[in-house]
Amino acid sequence: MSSRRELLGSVTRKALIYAGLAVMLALALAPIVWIFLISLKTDKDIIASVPRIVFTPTLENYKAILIGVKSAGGETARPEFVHYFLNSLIITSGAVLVSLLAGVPAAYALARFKIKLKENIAFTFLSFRFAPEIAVIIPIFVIYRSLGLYNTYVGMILVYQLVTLPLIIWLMRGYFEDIPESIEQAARLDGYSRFAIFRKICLPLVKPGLASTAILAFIFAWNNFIFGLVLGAKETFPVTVGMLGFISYESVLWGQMAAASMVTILPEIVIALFIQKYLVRGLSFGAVRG
Amino acid sequence: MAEVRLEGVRKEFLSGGKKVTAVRDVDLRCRDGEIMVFLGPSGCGKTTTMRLIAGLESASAGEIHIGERRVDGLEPGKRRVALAFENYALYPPLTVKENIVFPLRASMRSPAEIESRLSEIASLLEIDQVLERKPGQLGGGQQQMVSLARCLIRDADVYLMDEPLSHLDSDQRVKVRARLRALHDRTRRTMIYVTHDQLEGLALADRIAVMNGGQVQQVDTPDGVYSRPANTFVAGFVGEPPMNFLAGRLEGDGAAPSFLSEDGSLRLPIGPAPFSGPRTILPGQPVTLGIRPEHIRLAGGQPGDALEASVEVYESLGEEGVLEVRRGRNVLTLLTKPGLSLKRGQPVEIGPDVQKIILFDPRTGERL
Repeated sequence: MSSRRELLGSVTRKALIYAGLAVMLALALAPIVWIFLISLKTDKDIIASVPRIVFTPTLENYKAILIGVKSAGGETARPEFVHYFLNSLIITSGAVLVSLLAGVPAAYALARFKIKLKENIAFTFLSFRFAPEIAVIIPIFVIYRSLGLYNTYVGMILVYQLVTLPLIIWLMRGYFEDIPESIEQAARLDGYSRFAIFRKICLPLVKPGLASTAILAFIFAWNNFIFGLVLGAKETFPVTVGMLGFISYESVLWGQMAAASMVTILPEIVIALFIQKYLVRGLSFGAVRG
Repeated sequence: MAEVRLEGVRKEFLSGGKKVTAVRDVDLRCRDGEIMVFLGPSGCGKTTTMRLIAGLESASAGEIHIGERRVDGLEPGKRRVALAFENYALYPPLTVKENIVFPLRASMRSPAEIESRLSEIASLLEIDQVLERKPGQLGGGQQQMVSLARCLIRDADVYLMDEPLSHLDSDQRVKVRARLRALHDRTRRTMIYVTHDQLEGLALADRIAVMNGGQVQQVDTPDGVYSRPANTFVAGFVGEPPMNFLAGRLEGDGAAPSFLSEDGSLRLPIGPAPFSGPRTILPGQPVTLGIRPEHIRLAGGQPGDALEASVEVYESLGEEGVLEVRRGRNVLTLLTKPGLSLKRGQPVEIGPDVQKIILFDPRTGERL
């Protein structure tokens, strides 16, 4: 009897877990599905007072943002969206790359070396994330204006370090600390230099963690809005800011905006799916037996 | 091969803002081609001393020499030492074989030579069946054998081993211990072996350095450590069950002294003991008497030097029995035959072998 009750209990528990997951999934995906549907609708369908579930899908919105609409003169100008999208790619990839180059060795040093005030240094990096960006944006703006970094890719990549660098340093530090120190000591006894150990032994071991950390940093940077808005202009706007262009005095181009949103989240989805294996392993890393 | 010399080596480090001395002015000489065992309880500084020799820790003071070279200050990789880590230190992505030959790759040996050395060591440590597996697929004992193999395959002046058998099953441990000893007898490599297991230490060592509190208590052969302990710590640490200690004082003159326990209930003649140390013993002097459980016999009712006592606890352990008896306020442990029927409170007679008695200074713990 008791085993049957247990079975029943476990079935109920499983059902509850799945119900909870279903609710979370619906909450997370519903807006995306909604936007996806909007992106396939004509303007008329979008503003229909009873939202239409059944409609004739159209790719006009995607065409408009990716290829451009014919102007009255018959020319098709290069759509701004593509420009902003490329900006985002340049800034985000650049920021993640710089953060990896600087942050991974820093994380290793913080994990392994005996450095004076080590915890204070690590904490300083973390403190980059304490203040909301909006709180520090005015001084940064003033500095950028006087240094000539305003509205430049270099400036954007630099300021994005506030987003990506602390993340990479703190996550990678944990991965490095998870490597048993004796593995490195054994290599030292075999005559490997500190740098060779870092490159040949530690880096391959943290590769899954490195991949997941880089993706997280990429996503955070990709989604950033305020830095681009204040420190950039038309030439360097990332896609998040550029999308505001769909809102104008006369009208809001809902359909194009939705299509742009779909294209914008595409890189994140592709990257995440592509290295999902690493992502899962990376987040559950620390399982080096020892 | 080379000898290892430590002169006034000291290691201090900060722990929670407080200065802790892990190794206290250690002077030690491990002779060329000998197995020296560092034996002591955990936290005694034995592993730290070994890591100082390897260069994984830097000494706060003192000098370390390997052969003719002074090595403190040298990078670990330049000291020509091999080390087997207690916690394996294997490289997870590589196979067992790749892990073992990893240190040889740097030394540019011919593939054939690497292969022959590998097969020799792998069969010695019984890991030849798992060479193609990854460390994560092995149990703790096998991983430890791989780690040991990686140490032994190297060309080094000194081979350091930190509890290399601690994760093995007990029968496996005895087997590998014997093979290590045999390997050493064949190759005469200088080895330093850290363990807290005194049986392992006694079985393997040419000489043992017993450590406690960051200091070397005694350096001697296994027999010397066992039968001529330098102080009460060594006497109590080496031997299982541990040595009996009784507090009391000496009586009588120099010709026929005897020991009287503190509560006056136990008097033992101290013969012209073969172990009596260099110091003179004065009548009335307080002493700590030490006698090993195996040197007290359970007398079968014959007269002589037999003492009456009562049974406290008796454990029959298959090969032998461990008996605790009480006389007055003194409790003594002795080894007996197994399977005796002894009840608590039952009177028995015991016969300590007075020739084997060792006396210690109760203040300093040093042997008298």
